[in-house]
Amino acid sequence: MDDKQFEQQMKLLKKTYERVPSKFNSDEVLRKIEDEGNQTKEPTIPIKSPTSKWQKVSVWAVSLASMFIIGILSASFLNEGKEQGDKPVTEFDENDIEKLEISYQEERKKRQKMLDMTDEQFNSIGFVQFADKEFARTIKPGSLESNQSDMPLKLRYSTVIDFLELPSEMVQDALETKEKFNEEKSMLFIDELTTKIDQLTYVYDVVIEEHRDVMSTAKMNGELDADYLYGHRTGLPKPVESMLENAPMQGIAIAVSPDKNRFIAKFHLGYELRDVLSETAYNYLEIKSNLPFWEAGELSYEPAQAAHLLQYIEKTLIETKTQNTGIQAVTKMHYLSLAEKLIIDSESNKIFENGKLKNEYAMAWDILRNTMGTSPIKFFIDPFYKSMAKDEWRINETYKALEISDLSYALSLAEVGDLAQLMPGEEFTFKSESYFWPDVNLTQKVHGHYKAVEETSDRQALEDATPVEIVALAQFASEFEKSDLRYSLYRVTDQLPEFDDYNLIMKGQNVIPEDATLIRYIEEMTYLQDGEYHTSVEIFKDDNLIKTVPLVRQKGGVWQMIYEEPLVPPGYFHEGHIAITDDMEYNIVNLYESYKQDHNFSLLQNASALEVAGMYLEADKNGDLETQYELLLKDDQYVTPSREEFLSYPTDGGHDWKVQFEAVEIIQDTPTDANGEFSVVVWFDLNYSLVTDDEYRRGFQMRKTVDGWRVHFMPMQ
Amino acid sequence: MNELELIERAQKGDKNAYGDLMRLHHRTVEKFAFQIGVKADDIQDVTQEVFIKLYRFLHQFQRDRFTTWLYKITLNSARDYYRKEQREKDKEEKIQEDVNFGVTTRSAESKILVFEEDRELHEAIQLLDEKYRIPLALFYFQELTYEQIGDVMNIPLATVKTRLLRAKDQLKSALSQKGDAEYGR
Repeated sequence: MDDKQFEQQMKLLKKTYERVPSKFNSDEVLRKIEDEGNQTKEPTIPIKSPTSKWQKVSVWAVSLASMFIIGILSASFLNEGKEQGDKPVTEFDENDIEKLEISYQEERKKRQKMLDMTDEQFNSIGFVQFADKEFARTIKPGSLESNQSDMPLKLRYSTVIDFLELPSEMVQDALETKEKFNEEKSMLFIDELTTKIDQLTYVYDVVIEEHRDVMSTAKMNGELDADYLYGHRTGLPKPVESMLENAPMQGIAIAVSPDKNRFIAKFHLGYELRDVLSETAYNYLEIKSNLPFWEAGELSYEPAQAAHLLQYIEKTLIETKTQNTGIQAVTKMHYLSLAEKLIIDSESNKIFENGKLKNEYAMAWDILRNTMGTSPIKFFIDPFYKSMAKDEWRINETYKALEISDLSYALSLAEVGDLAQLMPGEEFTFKSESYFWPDVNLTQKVHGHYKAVEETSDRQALEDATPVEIVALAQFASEFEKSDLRYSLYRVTDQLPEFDDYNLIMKGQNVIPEDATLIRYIEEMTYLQDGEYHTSVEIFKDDNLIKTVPLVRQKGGVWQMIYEEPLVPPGYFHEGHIAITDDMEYNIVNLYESYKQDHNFSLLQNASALEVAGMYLEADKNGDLETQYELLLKDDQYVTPSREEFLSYPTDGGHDWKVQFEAVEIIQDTPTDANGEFSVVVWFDLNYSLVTDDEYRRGFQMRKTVDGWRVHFMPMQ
Repeated sequence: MNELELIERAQKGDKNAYGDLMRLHHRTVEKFAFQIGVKADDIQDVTQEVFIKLYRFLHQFQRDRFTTWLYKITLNSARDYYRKEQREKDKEEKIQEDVNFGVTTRSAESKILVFEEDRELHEAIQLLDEKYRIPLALFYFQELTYEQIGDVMNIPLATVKTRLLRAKDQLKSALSQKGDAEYGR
């Protein structure tokens, strides 16, 4: 590539960077700056109650698009008693109420400003209206509730303010608790959060509708483009600009509709709540972020994708222990409607063509009937799937008789654990398990399996053997030179070498590495594909995963290992995944400090590869070119600059490798020569905070010489 | 009102003036953050952090060094962000998602880097050592002079030139070899 081409490409990339989206809100920053400044001041009116709001208040507000029921609002207080010194509520001071009214209006204004909405827009938001009603109901004198309530006024007020909180504030509060919510708390939280986001979405729907024409000019290459819209929002009508600035912060993305004809406001939350919410509750948010599932009656996804989505929704619903939340009810309706889209033909979504099921829908049905475990959709679809498969996918009487209400019934059974009784033999029985290695119990089981196979000469005798037991049996076979047995535990594939070649490769090798400390299998890692179960067994040395053994099993068959070529050829130097501990770092720094005094080679003679690499990096961090040069490999075969040239390179110090890296793996890279020398790559695993999609580790080239380990010139890849 | 006047007013505590400054410069910060490796989904957080920090230091620097400080703080904020963030990679959840949930959305990055050439070049830049990546981004994408780059990175002019040359060589080589590993000190 010449300079001209390079410059041209850089120019083009510079233009591309204009597409970097912007969701910046300067008001939000100013607010945070102000909050920082106000942190030492005590609020005169408490905004936050001392107890968790999602335990204190159970709010069921379901207010969605017109096809759903209007929300029923109730509040039950779990407060444990009056605070000391609170006034009896029948004797509240007029001034208190007046102050609260003023304060409440300020709170409203604050949120209105955060959203940058007009009065009309802000007043139309569902949760704002609710908060207003609650304020009137529970705070204002003369109302039944305020007269009869024994809850302190301040606490009632604080509850009303909670109702007024924006989604962004709810998320922020949740993150600040720094706790992991249990499922119940998580479900209550997302119920409230998603309701508020939905109510805000309605307001934005109106904005989009009213400004459809001007928004439809936001196109790139002739197609509507959301990034273009964001990037050119300045100059658009104020409501649109304000929406584009503020909606993303409230969990709403302005995106192009699935049919690409218009913009829509859709639910979109980042990953920040993943660490706070229970897994099941978070799954509901993921499901919601994939809406809409259809548009104008037509599926928004390819049928196969929609089938996977349906499986995910089903699993989430069945795993939910907390019942009767609004979001669960809505998700159930989505589940049934999506199933209907995939299974029932309609004018807007045709699944048959010339009386025959379309191929893509047959594939989707196949995915559904292979759903893992006790699955309502599998239970529902299996009968007519088999029947129609025999009739070349033509509509038949079995298909005509099906009713989607049966699926709803199956789901209800699954939720209470009763569906399994109707699906004998379908349940996947291999539960997660782990053993410290070696383990007496596991060894006994392995012996039992070995005896069974020897006595029956039938591999089917292993049908009850778990994935871990199969791998352990393979290891047993290695140790006792039962090569036939070991080989027979593999699935015959193109990758599996012939018996003799396999034995040559595995000579002296263990299926379970010698330094392994734990072996485990996780049920959730199992998936069904083409009628077979696929999974893997993980092998650890302390906290580091050092090997994974993939396995496969036909239904009713036995687990078989899948052969994978060894990462490191037999006989090659390999030190697998060692965590870089504080002690190691300390030793390396000490070694460096000693070595840099006079570069005494005797210090390097017995130093390990990691120690020498660490010393080099420590020298780099300190801008110590001299020590770096002394550690370099000097060999005619390899390019190394002269000392003078090397010391002339500019440097102001490098990064601190102790912060950057957290583990190493060392793998021999070249054959060992006649002198016993060879090159290795020291793979440094990046600290998790530095890992990106494109990079999780860096290679560092070294060579084992007769004088010890040395570093290749320009070692870091 | 020109920018220097805005800065002066902001330094005196005028929040509106600071708001105007932010609106003038937030695109610079967003793009620069992305160019030096901040993920698209994290840009908003980092950008906010930059302007919050900038406000804290606003009174401590001269008006005519505002841009220098903007870049310096963006660099530091990008580094700090990834050091502070408590992100655990849950491998089991990821496998679960990959296997059972075939629906994925386009990554934010792919919406920016639509064309393969751009993606390759951007990724090759991210693979450069920071000491080469930063001056490269400042020179080619932010159009700073050598002197300004030296000011931002606190390195001599000669070092700026050397690093830019090395950065260019490494990039050209990486792109020519299309994915082969490049060595850096």
